[in-house]
Amino acid sequence: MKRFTQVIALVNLIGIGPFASAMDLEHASLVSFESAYTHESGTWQKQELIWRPEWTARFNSGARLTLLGEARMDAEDNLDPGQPRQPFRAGLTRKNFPDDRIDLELRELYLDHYLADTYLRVGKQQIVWGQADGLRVLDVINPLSYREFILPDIEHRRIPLWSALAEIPVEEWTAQIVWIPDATVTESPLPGASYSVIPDPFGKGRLTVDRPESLEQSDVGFRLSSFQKGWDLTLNYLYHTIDDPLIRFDSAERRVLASYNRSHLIGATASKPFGSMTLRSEIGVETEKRFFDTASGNVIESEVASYVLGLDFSGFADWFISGQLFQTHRFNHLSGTERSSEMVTLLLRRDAFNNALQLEALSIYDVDVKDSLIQLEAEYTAATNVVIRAGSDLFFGERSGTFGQFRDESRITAGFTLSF
Amino acid sequence: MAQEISTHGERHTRAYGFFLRVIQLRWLTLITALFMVVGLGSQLGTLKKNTQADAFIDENEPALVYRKAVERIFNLKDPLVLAVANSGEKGIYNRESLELVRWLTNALASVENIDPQGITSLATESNIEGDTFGMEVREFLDGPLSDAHIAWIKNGIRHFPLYEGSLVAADGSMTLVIAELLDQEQAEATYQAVTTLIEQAPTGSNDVHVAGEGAVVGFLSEYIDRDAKRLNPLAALIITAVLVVAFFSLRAALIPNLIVLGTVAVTLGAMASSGTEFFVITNGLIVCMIGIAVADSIHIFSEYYETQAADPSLQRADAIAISMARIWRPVTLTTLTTAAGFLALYPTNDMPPMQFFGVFGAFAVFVAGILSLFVTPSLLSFVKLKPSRAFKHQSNQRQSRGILKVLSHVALEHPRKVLGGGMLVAAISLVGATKVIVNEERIENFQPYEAIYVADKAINRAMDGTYFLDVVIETPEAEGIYDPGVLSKINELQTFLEQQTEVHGTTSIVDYIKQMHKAVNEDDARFYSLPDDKNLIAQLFLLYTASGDPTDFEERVDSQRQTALVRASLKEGSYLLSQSLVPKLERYLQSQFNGEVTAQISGRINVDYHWIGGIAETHLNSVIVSFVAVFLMAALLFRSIVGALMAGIPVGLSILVIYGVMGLKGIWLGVGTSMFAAIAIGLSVDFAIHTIERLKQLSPQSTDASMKQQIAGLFMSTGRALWFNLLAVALGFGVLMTSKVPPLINFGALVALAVSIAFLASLLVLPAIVYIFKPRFIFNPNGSFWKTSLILVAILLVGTLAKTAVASEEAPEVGQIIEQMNTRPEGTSVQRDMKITLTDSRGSVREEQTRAFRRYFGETKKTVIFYTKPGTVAGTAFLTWDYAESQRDDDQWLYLPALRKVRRISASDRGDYFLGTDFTYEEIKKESKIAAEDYRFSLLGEAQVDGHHTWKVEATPVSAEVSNALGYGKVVLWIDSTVWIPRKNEYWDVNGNFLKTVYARNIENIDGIWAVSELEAVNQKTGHSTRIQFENTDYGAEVPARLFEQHALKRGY
Repeated sequence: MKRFTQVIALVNLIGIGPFASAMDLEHASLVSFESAYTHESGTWQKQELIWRPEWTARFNSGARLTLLGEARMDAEDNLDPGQPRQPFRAGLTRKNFPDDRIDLELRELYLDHYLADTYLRVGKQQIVWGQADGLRVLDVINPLSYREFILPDIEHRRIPLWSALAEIPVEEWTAQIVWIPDATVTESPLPGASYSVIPDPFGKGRLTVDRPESLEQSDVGFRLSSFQKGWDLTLNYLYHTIDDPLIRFDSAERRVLASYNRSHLIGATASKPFGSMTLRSEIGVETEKRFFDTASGNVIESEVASYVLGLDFSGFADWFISGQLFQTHRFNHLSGTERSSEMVTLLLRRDAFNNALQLEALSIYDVDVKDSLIQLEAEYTAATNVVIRAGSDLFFGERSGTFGQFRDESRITAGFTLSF
Repeated sequence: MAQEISTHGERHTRAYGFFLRVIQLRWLTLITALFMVVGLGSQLGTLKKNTQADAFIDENEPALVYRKAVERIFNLKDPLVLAVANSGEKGIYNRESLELVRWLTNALASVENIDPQGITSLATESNIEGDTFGMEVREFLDGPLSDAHIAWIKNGIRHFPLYEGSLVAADGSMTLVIAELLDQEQAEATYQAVTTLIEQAPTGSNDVHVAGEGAVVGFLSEYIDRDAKRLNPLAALIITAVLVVAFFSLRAALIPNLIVLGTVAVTLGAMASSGTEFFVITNGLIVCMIGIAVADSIHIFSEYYETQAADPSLQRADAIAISMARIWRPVTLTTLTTAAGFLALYPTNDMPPMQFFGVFGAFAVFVAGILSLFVTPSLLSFVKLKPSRAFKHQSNQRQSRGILKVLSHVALEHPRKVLGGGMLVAAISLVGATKVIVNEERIENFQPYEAIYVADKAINRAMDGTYFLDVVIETPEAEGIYDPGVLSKINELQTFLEQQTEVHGTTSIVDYIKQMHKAVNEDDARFYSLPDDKNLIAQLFLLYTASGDPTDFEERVDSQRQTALVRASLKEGSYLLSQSLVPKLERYLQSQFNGEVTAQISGRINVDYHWIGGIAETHLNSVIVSFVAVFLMAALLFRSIVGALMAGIPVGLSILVIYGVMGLKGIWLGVGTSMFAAIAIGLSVDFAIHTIERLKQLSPQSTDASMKQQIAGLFMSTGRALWFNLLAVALGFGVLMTSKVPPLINFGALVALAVSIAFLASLLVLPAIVYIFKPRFIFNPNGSFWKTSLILVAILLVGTLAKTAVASEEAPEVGQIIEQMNTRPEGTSVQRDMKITLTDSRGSVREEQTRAFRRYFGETKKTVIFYTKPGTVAGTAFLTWDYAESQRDDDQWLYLPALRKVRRISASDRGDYFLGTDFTYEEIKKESKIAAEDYRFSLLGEAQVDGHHTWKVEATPVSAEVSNALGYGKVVLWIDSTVWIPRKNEYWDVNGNFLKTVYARNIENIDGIWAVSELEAVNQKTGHSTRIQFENTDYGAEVPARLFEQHALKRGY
């Protein structure tokens, strides 16, 4: 509650209020039960009960305040064992762990308001750029949580940040300005968790995260978007901290060090349908990305360009087929390593029984390492407020690969969601 | 001498060389033909026969679809009806009759294809009467049949109006045993099994009759088919005999038969391979094939023998090639014109069997033409040249010469009288044709002495009737039928029906309730009425189940007690009767059942009313188009409009005469008879073409006298061939007049008449015209193909323009209706909530709520829909920009909360279903309007929907491409003539299958704008339905422009 009042104070401070006294309050909640069973080890990976409430207050002035919360109880506690100290998160963005098995999080809390034609959203929120699904070129404003690797919906994987966004229409264009003082970075589960990717050569807990300073090292971004001759176009610029850490080992101190650097990201997106086919494309260049060469122990800095080309096909009734190619290219690279790396994704979705049943198969294939992830899911809306789902997340490939490393964590999932 | 010259002249033609080559390559020709015949003929085994009466109805005919649905709900089937009649003083109220009823009831249960649960008789039905416990339900034939018991039965029936007239005749002379069939397709076999059973029955002094719609419908097609099968071979024999008489030669008798066999085998084989079924009228197609193949052969043989007789020194191949060079043209011409006529039947007919008749008729004509032109000369080249005795000694053919001489004399000496006579015949026929009555009554297709006919008449005399018209009453909720208000409406409906002269009795659940009400009130007749208490009514049913079988009501009310059936009994099942009754009933139902409780007509009578009505509408059109097709083809082939007009005279006259005779003799235009005109066109065009071809050989410089001489020569050559053509076809099909089946008798007589008229018109009227008018077309070489084509195009253009001009007086009507609908005010902007209820075929319900905004930006219409509930889809948003330019695709975006991204989606699939509903994207966007450029519209008439006057408009997509994009092959709209909103739409998919119905349930005036507040789409295929309720509609709301931008989807509203 304290945080809530802080935000209200902040909002008032920057002059968006004052709120009119009259308001409508709407509430909606989702309660989900999600379970996952890893057949390799024959154990339950998770048995979670999650409550996701959402309150929206509409004020007479036209302003709208939205709060999204998340309370989770996991009977297994394998994904976030114990009460982790959350070194990757800024103070105001941290979750609350009242117990090993319970975590509480203020997911989002933001105020929407129009000042003349300028739209503002201020508060803890997700700001999403780009056109690609699952693959990140421009969608890097919010860091991700790898609590369950990349398996959940991206909505639940992004860590909402305290930030401000303004959208100003300028003739046929819309200019978006974003300011993100919240210095939270990509959150990897700590060693011991099912999907931990942080090496732990010195034993549990020897991790130092050199996170940037909130406010002082804010991210700022600018985007222009327009609809021109049937094309949805955007031009993007972001000055930011790269949220993925550079991991180094400090043998002297016997610790693992995660550090971050700042970079300029310049990019663009374009999409347009052609008959039943929709083309999505996205390109971005980071001016400085760092890599650690384990062989030499050196850090290499390079400009990196990445792009995604996606084609969606909806020419068959009730089918949605989407394929994407992702390529990233390092301009400065080590001899003996590849300059570029590629990934392809294929999504097949079939709606049946008037969309009551949705079957989905998503495959991500890493062309270089030749490993892959296949996600299968069946979702059935049994009644207005009840959705049942079952599926599996299957990792294939060598243990050294992006996906192959979690071969033992391939799982079968089942669950349901109630809404009210 | 003239003959000599022309014989030698043929040798210089390309055709002569061509046929010499054909004869050289005869093996190749024969083997190819054999392959074709054997290849397709081998498929004959797979030809599926369909003698079902329903085969003639388009399976998507809404009345038929609805009837089948009603039959499922109430477990109804067309029954076999057995009647036990006793003319004694006590009627059937005697032990022997009642024992017979019991015996028949038991025995029928074990007859194959009879539903043991679906037998109704005195032995299965129960009396309802009062007793000390309130109500006793006791089977009529329960226990030994003592005099006292029989008296109890008689008394019970007399005081139970439901049974009097429907189960036992009012005078007690007859009682029925009604047996429902499990499979209607085996009705004929079951009918036979039951007649055998009756022979073994202890009938005593009783008469037992078998009739009923099940028997009639099932038996009729078989009855016709069987006789046709018996007589068609006989026709072939007679035709062979005619050939023998004509040519005195074995080859001339055998080869045409081989051609006929080949044509039949290839055509039926092609039908089999294409999966087309053999319908009852396909027998008529065989008739045509025989007629056409024989005609071609007769002309070829006549030419062959004539050539030989003229120049006996000719070599074998030479003689054949010369004859073929001379005859190929008229044979080809007749083939093309006849095929055009047949083909025109396809697009202009509603009945699938007639459409196939057209397509395969044209195919058969081609096959016959090709076999005649190639196989006949090839076969002839194997046999020695042997003159026909008929041609060697022409005096032998005194008979034909005699008749032809008379004709020639009449035509040439009294040409004006001939023309006058022709016109008189046409005029009389025209008058007769106007008297043609569209009607169909199946029982009248049987001879009056047939047992089934006798039974039908006897039963319908004594009882209320064995033909049914049903009305289905639907209430909005379960047990809605128990509502006294609903029951009293049903009661009033029954009273209305019984007041109609066509109706002789009605039954419904009301009759049971009244009887039960009386029973619980100590059988006091004053209580034979409807209780005014829903609970009491429910209790009566409960009480009934204490001693009776609850399934006793299953044919009157569904198990949910939500839908009830009112059945009216009619003594006859003719289309004429339905034509007078159904509209009256429709009007009554529209005025009385226009609220939540709805009423719809069903039953076979209603089905007949709708689809036979369709025949009446399309038939004339079909014949005209077919005739025009023949005319156009003839014009192109003769390269002359006058030539086409001349060819049209015998064809037109024979069609007119057919209708004239039908009108004057009172032969109804119905299912079977609707093909007569088509056959007349097919068979009569030959006569005209051959005559004209021959007339064209007249010398242009002829004096009247020499012309007479030349025309007389025509009578002796072509005339002779036509004479035998006539004899073969007329006698061949005249045989059908000996059939015992009335439709076949008519068929035989009319086919014979049609060819006779065509023969006479060709040989009398055409020469007379030539003689009097000396048309240039006859004496000049053929005109220019392009010139004729241009003239035809001009005629067609003028015709089309004229039609459009005539139609333009009506066109604005349908055009205006669509325009009125599409320009209906809908406000510049609107904001409203939509509650979407999705119900699947099992009754599972999902509800979704959305908030929708729509606003016009100039002519661009932008719509945005935000999902608000349930939580699992909340946040999903959908934006469309719909441009005024029809060729410009919409732009669409979708926001999925799970991605938090606005996603561009392709707009090309307008026919895709909108987010799981039964409405397409197009329909959601159009808001009860329609994209006029996508469809061709025609006004079908007026109709009442929910008590409102509507224009019934049919919309057909302009192209296959549009049809595929929209997902529809046809849409029928019922557009309210006051508020210009469709109150009901029916949709057919691209394959022509009935797909769904959309109802506009509530139409309200909001802020001065008419708006639908509840829409429902029911998908017939999936059983899924979608209801959209519009709430909080506000046309005055301020809807900001920014809501319709892509960014707005993620911002929310």
